[in-house]
Order: sequence, then structure tokens, then C-alpha cells
Amino acid sequence: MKNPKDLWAGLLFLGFGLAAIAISSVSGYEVGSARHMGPGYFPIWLGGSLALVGLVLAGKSLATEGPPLGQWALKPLVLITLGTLLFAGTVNVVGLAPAIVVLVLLSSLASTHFKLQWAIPLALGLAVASVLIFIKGLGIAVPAMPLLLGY
Amino acid sequence: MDIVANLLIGFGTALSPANLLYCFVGVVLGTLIGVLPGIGPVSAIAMLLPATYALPPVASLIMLAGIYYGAQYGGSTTAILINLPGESASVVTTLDGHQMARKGRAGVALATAALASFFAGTISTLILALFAPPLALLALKFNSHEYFALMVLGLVGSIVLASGSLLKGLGMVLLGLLLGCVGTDVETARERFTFGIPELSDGFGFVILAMGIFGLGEVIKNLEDQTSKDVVAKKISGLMPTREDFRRMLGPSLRGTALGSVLGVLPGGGAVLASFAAYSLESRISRPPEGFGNGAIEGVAAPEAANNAGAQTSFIPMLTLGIPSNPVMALMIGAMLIQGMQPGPLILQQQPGLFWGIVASMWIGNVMLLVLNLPLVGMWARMITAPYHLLYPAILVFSAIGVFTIAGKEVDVYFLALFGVLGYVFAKLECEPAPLLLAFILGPMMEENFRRAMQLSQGDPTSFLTRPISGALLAIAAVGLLVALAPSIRAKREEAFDE
Repeated sequence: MKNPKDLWAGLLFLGFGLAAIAISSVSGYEVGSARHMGPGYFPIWLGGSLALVGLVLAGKSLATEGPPLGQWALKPLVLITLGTLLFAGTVNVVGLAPAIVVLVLLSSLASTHFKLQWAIPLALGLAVASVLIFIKGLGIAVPAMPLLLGY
Repeated sequence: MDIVANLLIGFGTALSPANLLYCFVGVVLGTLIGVLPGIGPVSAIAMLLPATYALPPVASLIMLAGIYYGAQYGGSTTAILINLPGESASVVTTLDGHQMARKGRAGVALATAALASFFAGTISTLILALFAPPLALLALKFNSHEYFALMVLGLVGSIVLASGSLLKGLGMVLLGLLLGCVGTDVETARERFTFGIPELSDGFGFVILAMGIFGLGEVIKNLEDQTSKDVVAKKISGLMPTREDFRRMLGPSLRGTALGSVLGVLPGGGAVLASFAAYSLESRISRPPEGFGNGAIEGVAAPEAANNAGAQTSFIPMLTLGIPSNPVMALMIGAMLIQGMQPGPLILQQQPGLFWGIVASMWIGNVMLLVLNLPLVGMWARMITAPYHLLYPAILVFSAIGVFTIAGKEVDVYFLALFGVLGYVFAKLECEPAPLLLAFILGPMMEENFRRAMQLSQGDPTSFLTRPISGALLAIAAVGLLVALAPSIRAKREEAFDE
């Protein structure tokens, strides 16, 4: 692989383009005519063009030189995504404050400078600040921490 | 004189105590964001957008605008003091600005940046006041054909002016348009790409997309390389430039302002491009005794004037045509839509107070920034040393809460995580996300106008070429694309982005 960044970008575009065409046809979005376009007209044209661009990009990448992809930051990627997903899943159940603590602790682990004696005060501080700003201040309808605080 | 009367209306709006306060809050937050490396204006504005929902429309736009041009000021402080761009529009300022700081002229470099920015801000505010009304009048004559052509031009501009490969830019635009298709089709009420998820029937929220790709994606990318930066935040003394310094910064400031004002209006332009272009222009024209890259004051004044001018004039197409020229303006349009305003030529006629209020507040904001930045520079310099490993969890928390509070739905936060992953993948593959974001916000408008235009012209696509204005706009787009594709220019373009 001489130009991995272009190759993968091309394949990504190709995949999105083909998926758009496939979903449009399977779900039966009418294409219509140029005078009266149906809901499928625009997406199918876009999907086709995107797939074509992806194909050309991937094809060209085989003949050109490019920088290597480099290491993927897998740990930050996984921890930050997981933290955000957990926040979403827990915020309405256990409340805003615990959800923030989980998010901060998980995402802090992604740093090479991680130290528990820093992460815990940060998590608690952000949780308290957010409850004060968003729930007390802006009046957002979300529980703070029903288990402990009762609201 | 019309313009005087209009500016008086504007200052009347902008000088109300509440609006002054929001302008102040905006520029302070903007400076803070600009100073902190690792948070760009796009993710910052997206993060703060929910906080403005409760404000009146004028106040929210004044504050968001303040964040944008405040960030231009703050970014230069970081660039000069620690050789790291606080945000991307101050990348070139690091070249000569940090060298000045190493030679003990940090204070003068900071003052130069602030003065050049202020100078540019004043002139470009006047340009905005002068050119917006005629442009809005012209835009009133626009029909579906012209709007479609204009948006094509905008997207082509964003591809040509974005860094990196043209083919990738084109792919990102098409992908953005496709993402814009998600939701209910306006004409037939048919749901597209919603996978039966009810929250998707209105499409992806723009803020979610922006915050995921720019905010979360950026954080993950920043954590890839965690080598610690060396901070040279020495004590700053001697703010006042000498008479010789003033003489040397005048020309570059003027040229930077002119170039920045033009590039800011162009689709895909704005502050970042303006600063690069101004620096390379200056390095061809000026002959500083110490040479560029060795602490030439010209190399600080020109890009700093240009990025501020570009930031201001990029409001022109947004306010008069309803077409964003960069992702920050796209967010502004998002903010206006949330406030129930349709950006476009009618804004100027129907809400002169809003339009001129924003224009006037920009100048007031620039005054505040000048007053704020010079005496407080020591405080900002201390902020720089805030370690990133304490900063990014806070960014994540505010992003997640910001997205959650838009509609109080967990689903939105799941999408945020999804777009964060996508943003990181784009960063890894060197796919510039700005064209995607522009295409995403223009997509629904583009499809609507395209369908209406085709209906009006009985399905005849040549009507886009035979109507004079739309034909001319498409011709400009075609020329732009061809020029960018021409091998000699292409080499130059790559060189320009490498610099």
C-alpha cells in the first residue's frame, strides 16, 4: 500500500455511496422524472457520484505515494466513545452528576498523564458545576442525582 | 447619508446595557477559547450554542459573533508566547511572533497583533456596512435557479480553498449533501434514511454533527500525540511599540486587511485562509531587515490583520444571502434558525435593528478586545499553561450536556459519539471536514431549489446556464474548479498550503 490515506478515504466514500443507493432502492424511494423529482432522485445521484469519486480516489491511490496512516489512538477513541455513550445511557436513569463522573473518569484514562488524585476532583468539580449551572441555573429538566439528592 | 443613519440604528441596539454585556461575555469567552490550544472556534460555538437559546435573537448573535472574532485575538497570544497556534487562523503568527518573543519583544508582538487586528476590524466593519445592503438588494432578484447556482459556487469554493486533495474535498461535499438528505423529504413527506428512528425524521441536528466531528474528533486526534509542549510564558514587559515599529506595521496591516476582507467573503474562505495568504503576500513584498521567520514585525501584523478582517467580512454572505462561507457561519445560520429567523436578503429590510446591531456590536467588540487584551495579557498567558489532560474531559462534559439539552433526548448524545468517531477517522485520512459541514447545511436548501427550478423550467437543465445570473455563477464555479485542477496552479496551491 503506497498511499493508505487516500485508499481508505476512497473506500469510505465508495461504501457510503453504495449504501445510499442500496437503501434508496430497497426502501423504494421514487426517483421520478427531471420535471417532477421524487424523494429518491437527489440521494441516488449523490450516492452514485460519491461512489464514483471514491472509486477514482482509491484507484489513484494505488499509483501515488502518500504518507503512512500512523498509529491509531485506539485507547482514546474507545474510552471517549464509550464514555459518551454511557453518559447518554445513564443521564436520565441515575442523573446528571453520576453520568458526568463516569464520563470524566473514563475519558481521563485516555491521557498518558492520568492520575487518580487529579481525575477524581476534576470529575466531582465538573459534576457540581454542571448541576449548579444547568439544573439550578438554566432549569434543564433532567434529574441531578435522585439516589442521594432526591431530585 | 444612509449608512450613517443605519449605523446609528445599529449603535442604538448594540449600546443597550444588555447587549453590551452579551458582547463582553462573547469576546471574553472567545479570547479564552482562542488562547487555549486544542479548542477551535467551531467546537466552542457549538458547545455554547445551547446557552444562547434563552437569549433574544440579537443578543445571541452578538455574543456568538463576539466569540468568533474574540478567538482571533486570543489565538495570537498563544501563538506568540508558546509557539503553538491557539486556533488555526494564527498558525502563521507563530513563525515571526514567537521569534519576536524569544528576542524579548513578546510585549511588542502582542501589541502589534492586537493593534493590527483592531485596525482590520474597524475597516472591515465599514466594508460590511457598505457592501451588505447592495448585495442584499441584488439577492432579492434571485430565484431558485440563482440560489442553486450560488450554492454550487459556494461548495466549489469550499473544495478549492480547503487544504488537501480536491478529490477528497469533492467526496466530503457529496457526503455532506447525502447526510443532509436524512429526514423527511419536504415535497413528498416521505422519510429518507431514518431507519425507523423517530428522532431522525427532522434529520441530524447540525450542532450534533459539528460538535461530534469538530469537538470530539478533535479531542481524540489531540490525544494521539501527547508529547508535552514547552511553555515559555515569561514575564511580559514593554508593550508599547516604538515609532519605527508603527511605521513598519502600517503597510502590512493595510495589505492584510485588504486581502483578508476579500478572502473572507469568498465561499470556503474566512480567517484561516486569509492569514496564510497575507503572510505569503507579505513575504514577497516586504524586506524586513531581520528577514521573515526571524521575528519580523511585518510577519505578525499582516496575518493578524487578515484573519480578523476575514472573520468580519465572512458575515457578509451569511447575513445577505443566507449562505455560509465557512463552518462558523454555518453555525450562525443554525443559531438564527433556532431563533426562528431565516437568514437571507429579507433580514436587512425586515429587521434593520438586528442587522445593524450586529454590525455595530462588532466594532464595539473590537474596542473591548483591544482594551481587554493589552492590560490583561499576563492573565491570558497564565491560562495557556492549563494542562490539556484537565481541559479535554471538561470539553467532553460540556459537549455532551450541550447536545443533550438541545431536545432533552439521549439519542442525540449517541449520535454525538458516532460523529466523534467519524470525525477522528476523517482526521486520520486527511479529509478536511469543513466542506462536509457546509454541504450538510446547504444540502436541503439546494435540493429544494434544484427541484423547484427544474419544475419551473419543465425539466430542462440548460435553464441554469441560459439565465444570466445563474449562468455567470456556474461559469465562475467551473473556472474556479478548472484553475484548481490545472497542474501548474495545483503545484502552487499545494506549496501555499505547505508553507
